Amino acid sequence: MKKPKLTLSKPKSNVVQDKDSKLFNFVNMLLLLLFTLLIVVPIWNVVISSFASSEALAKGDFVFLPAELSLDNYRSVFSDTTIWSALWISVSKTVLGVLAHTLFCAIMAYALSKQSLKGRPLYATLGIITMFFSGGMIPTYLLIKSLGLLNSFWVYVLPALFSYYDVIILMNFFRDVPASLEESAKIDGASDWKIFTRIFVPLSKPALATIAMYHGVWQWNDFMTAKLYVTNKALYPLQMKLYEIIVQSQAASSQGLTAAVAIDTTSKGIQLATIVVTSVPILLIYPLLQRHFISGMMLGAVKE
Amino acid sequence: MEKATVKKMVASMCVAIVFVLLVSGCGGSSSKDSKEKTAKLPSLGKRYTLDKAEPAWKLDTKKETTKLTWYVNADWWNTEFGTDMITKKIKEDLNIDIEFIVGDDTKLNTYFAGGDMPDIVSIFDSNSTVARKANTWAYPLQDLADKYDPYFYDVASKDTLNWYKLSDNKTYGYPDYSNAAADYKSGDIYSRDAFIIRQDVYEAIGKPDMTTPEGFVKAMKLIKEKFPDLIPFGFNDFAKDGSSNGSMDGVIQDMLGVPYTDADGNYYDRNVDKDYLAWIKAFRQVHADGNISDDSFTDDGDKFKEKVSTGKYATMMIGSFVNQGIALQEFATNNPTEKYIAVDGIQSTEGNEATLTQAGISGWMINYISQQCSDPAKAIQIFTYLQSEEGQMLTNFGIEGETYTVASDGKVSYTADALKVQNENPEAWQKEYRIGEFIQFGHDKYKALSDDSYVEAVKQMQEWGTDKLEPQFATENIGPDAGSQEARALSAIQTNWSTTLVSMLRAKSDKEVEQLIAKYKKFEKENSIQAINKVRNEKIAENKKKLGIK
Amino acid sequence: MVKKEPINRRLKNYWEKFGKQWQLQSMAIPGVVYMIIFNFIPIYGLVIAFKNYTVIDSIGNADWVGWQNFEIVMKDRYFWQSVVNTLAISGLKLLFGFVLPIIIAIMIYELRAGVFKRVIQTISYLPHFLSWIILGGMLITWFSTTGMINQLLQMFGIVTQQNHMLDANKYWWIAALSDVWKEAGWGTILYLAVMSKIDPTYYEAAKMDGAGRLRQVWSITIPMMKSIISLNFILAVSGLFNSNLDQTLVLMNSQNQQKSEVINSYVYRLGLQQGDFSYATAVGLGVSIISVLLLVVTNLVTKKLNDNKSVL
Repeated sequence: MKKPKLTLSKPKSNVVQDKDSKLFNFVNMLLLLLFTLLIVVPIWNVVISSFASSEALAKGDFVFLPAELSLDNYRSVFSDTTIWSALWISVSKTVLGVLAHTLFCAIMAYALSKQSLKGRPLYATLGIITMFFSGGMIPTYLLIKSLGLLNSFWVYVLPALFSYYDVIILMNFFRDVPASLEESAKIDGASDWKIFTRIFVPLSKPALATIAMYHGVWQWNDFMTAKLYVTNKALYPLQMKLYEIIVQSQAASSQGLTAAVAIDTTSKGIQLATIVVTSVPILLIYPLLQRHFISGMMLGAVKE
Repeated sequence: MEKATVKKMVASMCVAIVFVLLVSGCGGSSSKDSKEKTAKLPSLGKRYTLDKAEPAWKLDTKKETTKLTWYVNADWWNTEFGTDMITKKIKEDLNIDIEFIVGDDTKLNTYFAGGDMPDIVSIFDSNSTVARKANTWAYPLQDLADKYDPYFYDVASKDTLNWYKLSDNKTYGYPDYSNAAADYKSGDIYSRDAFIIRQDVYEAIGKPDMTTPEGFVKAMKLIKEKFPDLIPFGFNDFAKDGSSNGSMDGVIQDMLGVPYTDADGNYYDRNVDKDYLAWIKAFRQVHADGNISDDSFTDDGDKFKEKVSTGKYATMMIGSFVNQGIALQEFATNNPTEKYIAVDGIQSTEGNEATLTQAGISGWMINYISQQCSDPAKAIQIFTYLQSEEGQMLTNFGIEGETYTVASDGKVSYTADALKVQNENPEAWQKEYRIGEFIQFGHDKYKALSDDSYVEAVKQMQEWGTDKLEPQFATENIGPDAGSQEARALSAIQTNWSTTLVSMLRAKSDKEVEQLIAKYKKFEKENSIQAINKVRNEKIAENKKKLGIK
Repeated sequence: MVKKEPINRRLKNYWEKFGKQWQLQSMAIPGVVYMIIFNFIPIYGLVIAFKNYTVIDSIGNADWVGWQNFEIVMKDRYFWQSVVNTLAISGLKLLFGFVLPIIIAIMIYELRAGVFKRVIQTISYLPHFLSWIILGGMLITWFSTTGMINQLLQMFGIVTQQNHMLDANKYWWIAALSDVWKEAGWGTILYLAVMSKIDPTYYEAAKMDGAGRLRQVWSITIPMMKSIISLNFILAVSGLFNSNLDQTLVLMNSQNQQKSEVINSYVYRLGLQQGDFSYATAVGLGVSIISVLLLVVTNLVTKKLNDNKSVL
């Protein structure tokens, strides 16, 4: 940020301050518009390309509007009827996964936010280790197998129930809850569980929304779990479709070289249309959660 | 950890580490199975009695449907079974239900490590550990054939079985598209690489000679003048990680007839061949003239296909044109007078004939029956079925009378109905018929039965390649074992070669090319090329023994 | 310091306190049990770093080779080259990618609530949803000889037919900045959540004192985010040795390889593609250990800046 301005904003009269504020707003708006533009152009290019006819796409000579628009790509994406059941799997695993994950992490984060917790250094150390060390794909597979989670819907939810990173974030939020609130509740004889549900959860909505958002998007985009642990196609989530389509065009061309075999690949247009289709539902989560991010007023009022 | 002193932290770390070690100790010791285990084949009982003249799948009296899992080591493999014409027929004929599983090496490894292998496994790399140590996890096909289905020997190629024999003299895997020397001679298999040019361009520049480096450079200049919108010369996409260099090394070397082995039968480093380097210098000049686009080095497969299908390149050194068949046909259909044709070009400066290659005796996908197969008899029946005339006709052309007819001269042609679907609804063709797609045991000689097996656009190219195919079986599968020091060094050399090649093509002068190649040679030496070549030569000798070449 | 008490007494004390806070413990222990099952039981898989493990082995039956895999890694100069590239790209990402989300979050926060604010917020996180396979393909097109970048340069009078992806010297920047572009908006979410807790009365008070907007940002907003900024900083620093595999695999080509090969891609090519799982695990283990060390060090440093409080 521009530092010299700091000296300019030293207390003067109200008029100057308003001017300063207006300038600030203007510059701020301008920079943000620029930033938005930087994002919108490429995204627009992806979205509009998914509506382009294959000829227009092959020429590739447009940024904003192809010579010819067509819905063919979308037609062929939706011609796959399994897409609806995949959507159902994706939605249910995301909803369930988010609720369970956020709650589970929040409970532990609450406990860890208390310095007085006995064994806390050990718990925290274990947690940090999980962030960096993993046994790798094979032992994890064997574990999932022995837990009977292969080809089960719960494989989407249970192994992703916990993340120490999310615990740390929540913990830091919980620490900022004014101690006075907790103390007065304790005097009234409230238990830890009660304090957690009645005071901490309502007061930490922005934090919980953040974790829900992070995990929701991860759940939605995750296809590795399905790829590794699920062979039953009825349990495939939407992203697995996208993965199949993209990987088809990649691997088939490289592995196909040895023999004189023509392997049909999915066109770029269909790939892009699939991306749009698989992304739109999760993009709605943010506007839904957005009001929790702007709930500072409420919090301020409680704080007293 | 807020008030935790460093001491406390260290202490808890120690506790954690001890704990981890304890846990890992318990887990680590759990699976201790012996390494070399040979499973005993279950007896047939009263299911059927063997008959040498009759495939076992016709004899089998097993009532209930056999459920088998079939793992294919490729994510793109179509995992449907029993929903299309071809697999439905297979399902009925053999009374089986196959669940296809796809994945990559890691996924395959989870099965090995987990101890529950799929019944049938198809992999792609005959150099891999999985293939080279197949005796630890797969059934020998000979044992299976002897015990359950001797008809297998009638349909399997002896050369191929012999080629895939491991040190115990038994064969574990059987590939598709494995071409023996006889196949190369038969004329049933076609070449797949060619120098192609757009017909309109060829005529407009007066069909100049492009067989010599000088003529080539000149012709490209001419194209640039007459067709400024086109890129004069193109080639297949380079792999991003340097594992393949499009059509600019092996394929060009084949065009020039650069040998695979030297006079003594030892491995020959084709990349530093004089003839080849003379052409590299020509391509360098073409690039310096602005007639090779730098984008050709960064395009991926999709991009290359797009350029082919829109005719962006005036000429191309195209490898595996059948792979590009759909794109080539698209361009030819839309621009009949501009379609790509194969012409003579890029020929040896030393008078060598072109020695083009095709799938060799190692074939492509290799199929195994695992030692944990729930019904090995059924599995070998599938192998026999798919290789038999019956299975081949089914997978290549569908059902006689419904999708194809056979003329008196043996020529196969699709019925009018089938052709209609193929032309008008390619998606249904793929989903409902799946003709020519169920290829684990495919072979080109069946394709040759029909004029419709290949798209129109490549037929002229195939014709151009007649008599130019030359088998190179002795140098197949000669890579060092995965995980060995040599394999690592070779990987480094290959990466360096990719960089060297593109740098040579983009070099400013011929002198720079010389310097680059000298640097590459030095690099090879530093990375134990001698040890690698020793492995290669040993394997060449082994191969020759198998093939019966002295 | 507390005066020394007999050990059994201290233990008894400890367990007494432990029992007293059973409610709190009942909240922490399920998480610990979960970690033991899902994270620590599979950790024995790390032993393959000390074994010669191939695709057809199970973890138990592979041969022990001691430190051999690590020795191979140590002697491998291409591995070290990939370390240099990883650090360079991560360093650039840290430099830009760490600060930018904070700045953008503050800028968004400073906007008056309304449609514009909501729209910008939503748009800013869209790139996060583009997979690298798609985005990489787009970047290659833009940086090609006739691509968008050259067309833009032309507008400023710089005529060039260069394919920028072939220029190894530009790769670090392309990799770092494209990653920042993709993730900056997404990174604002956490900061916006933190800022939503800031008591508005602070700003009112500051205004009364005549503090300008920048002043307010500097002396209210940023200090209020101190702990989350240091947390992210710690994690970013400990992630210095991590690299983006997907991104590298699409953007790499034979000309930029010496600058684009990162630890992950090298391990992927040498380890996983060639079935050398032991090599991959050995590198992974090494990176993990270094990352933890970085975490501990940065934690100690940020603690000093953070009123001697750790955020972990």
